[in-house]
Amino acid sequence: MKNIILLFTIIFSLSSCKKDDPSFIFQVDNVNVTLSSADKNRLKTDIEFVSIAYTDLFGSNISQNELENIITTYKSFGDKSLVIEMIIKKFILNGGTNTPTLEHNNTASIEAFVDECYKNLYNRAPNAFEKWYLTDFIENNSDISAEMVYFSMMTANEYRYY
Amino acid sequence: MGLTAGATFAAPYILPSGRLFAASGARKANHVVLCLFAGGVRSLESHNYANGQFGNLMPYTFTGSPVNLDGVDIGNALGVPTGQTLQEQGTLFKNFKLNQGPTGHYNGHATVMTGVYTDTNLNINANPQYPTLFELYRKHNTPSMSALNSWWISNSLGPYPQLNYSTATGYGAQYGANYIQPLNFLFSGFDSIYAPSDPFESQGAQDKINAMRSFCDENFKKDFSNSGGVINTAEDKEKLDNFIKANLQSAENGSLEDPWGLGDVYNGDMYTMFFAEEVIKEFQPELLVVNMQNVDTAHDNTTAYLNNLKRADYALNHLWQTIQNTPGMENTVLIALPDHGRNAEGNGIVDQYGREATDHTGDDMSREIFCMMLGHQTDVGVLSNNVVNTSGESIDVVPTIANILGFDNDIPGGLLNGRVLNEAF
Repeated sequence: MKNIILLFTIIFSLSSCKKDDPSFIFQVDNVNVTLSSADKNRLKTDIEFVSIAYTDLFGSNISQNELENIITTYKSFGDKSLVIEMIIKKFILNGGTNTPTLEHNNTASIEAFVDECYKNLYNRAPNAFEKWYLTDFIENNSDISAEMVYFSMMTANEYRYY
Repeated sequence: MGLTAGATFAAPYILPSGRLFAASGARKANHVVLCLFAGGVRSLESHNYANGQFGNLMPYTFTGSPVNLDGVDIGNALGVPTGQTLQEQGTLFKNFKLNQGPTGHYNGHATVMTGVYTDTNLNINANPQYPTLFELYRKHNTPSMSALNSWWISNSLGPYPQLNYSTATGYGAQYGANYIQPLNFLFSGFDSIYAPSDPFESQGAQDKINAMRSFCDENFKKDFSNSGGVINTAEDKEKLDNFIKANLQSAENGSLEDPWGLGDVYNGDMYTMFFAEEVIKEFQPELLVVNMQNVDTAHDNTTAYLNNLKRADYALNHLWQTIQNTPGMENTVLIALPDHGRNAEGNGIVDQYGREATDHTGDDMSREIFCMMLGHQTDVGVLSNNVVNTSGESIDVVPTIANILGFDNDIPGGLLNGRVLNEAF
């Protein structure tokens, strides 16, 4: 019995050790795996939303005192979409934000800006249509600032989810 | 009067606002302002002052000579009424009660604003389980009105914002009112939201921001507004934004420091009422609810309670004056009542003037409240100088308001157990 098993093992090993066909080379490329917007199902809590927004804009953590003040303000108003706009706008207008540089002079630069906005705020790359549309929109409206783009994206629905 | 009213109800008619109403669901008035004179007001210091030890401390509200007490010197700044008291101008229900449930502030508020008594299982961390007055109004009123027509303005946070809308099936945030707690929003929160200059303010900038935001939203399948509180139309949101900006600018330039020209006497109740008046002047809402709560200092300082009672008395009268002086607020009914009363017996805490403090733990007196109703140019007028001694309850307020605004017959049966307070008309 042992001999039979040994024989089959040798035959199987020999038959599987054929050289690859040189015309077909299979390999795995490195790819960056990013979140899709479709994967974002969880609504940020109010505290998460404000904390993350602050960090995204200033690159540092919000102080506990400021966070509490803003959350209290947030709770004090019924129309949440409007109070969010007020809070984000105030953040942006405070100055010192680390919004990416937007240069209107060439398409590649705007594309890079759009890429960075999506990565920083939505934690994903824009799909081809998103990238084309926003690049085109910014290119055709030279008065659009980086802050305006950030404000638009941070007050959109996707920024409320993770 | 009866014949006139009958003829009015028999055919469609046009209210002073220009709105046309069908014969069914006819309105008694076009606006209702409900003031929760809250914080726990004892009958002996309010409508039943004749049996109390202090006399009439609410001279703007109740008829009777005002009293001056040691330490209750706020009255010097607030003056005395020169015209009719509110009682003389309207109907006073003297035998009104929070008849069931705990005599807690939130319980009292929830009962008045849902028309359903609460019990000890009331969850203060969740929206109420029964539809609120705002939801009933916005869902069942015909025609359906925007959120800008209904407002809930509260003196404090805690559970009170939740009274905006309920978790009841078929209701919810889409029928909620616009809510604001002005003390935190305009004053404490000033630094968090106020931007003196707005580079995005131009129409061109707004259009571009809206275009980019809409594009982002079109590429994302969820809508935050479905879980984000009351929803205003884009047009209403812009009006709201401008209104808030104007008030923030007023806060910045100091004009909110003494809005009624009284000097340094304001408390949270007065500022809350002031802001309610600003909302009334700006939007002329069909339904507005505002509360006061500062009299709850009665737990440990009765003299402070009495001073705050006088402030609240003044503020209620000021609200009524504003309603009467605001174009577009013709045809308004004002209803005012406390959330609950206070205990007959003191709690042993005595202030520097020798006055013992009181709690509200469910004795008979802590259920005794009043209900005042006043009408401003209503088609079916609220009776003036009318004292009603038949019993009424906190749960009667929602059915009464629904009846006044003409949507009571559209509310599903079994939802409300109270009655319409017809004695006022």
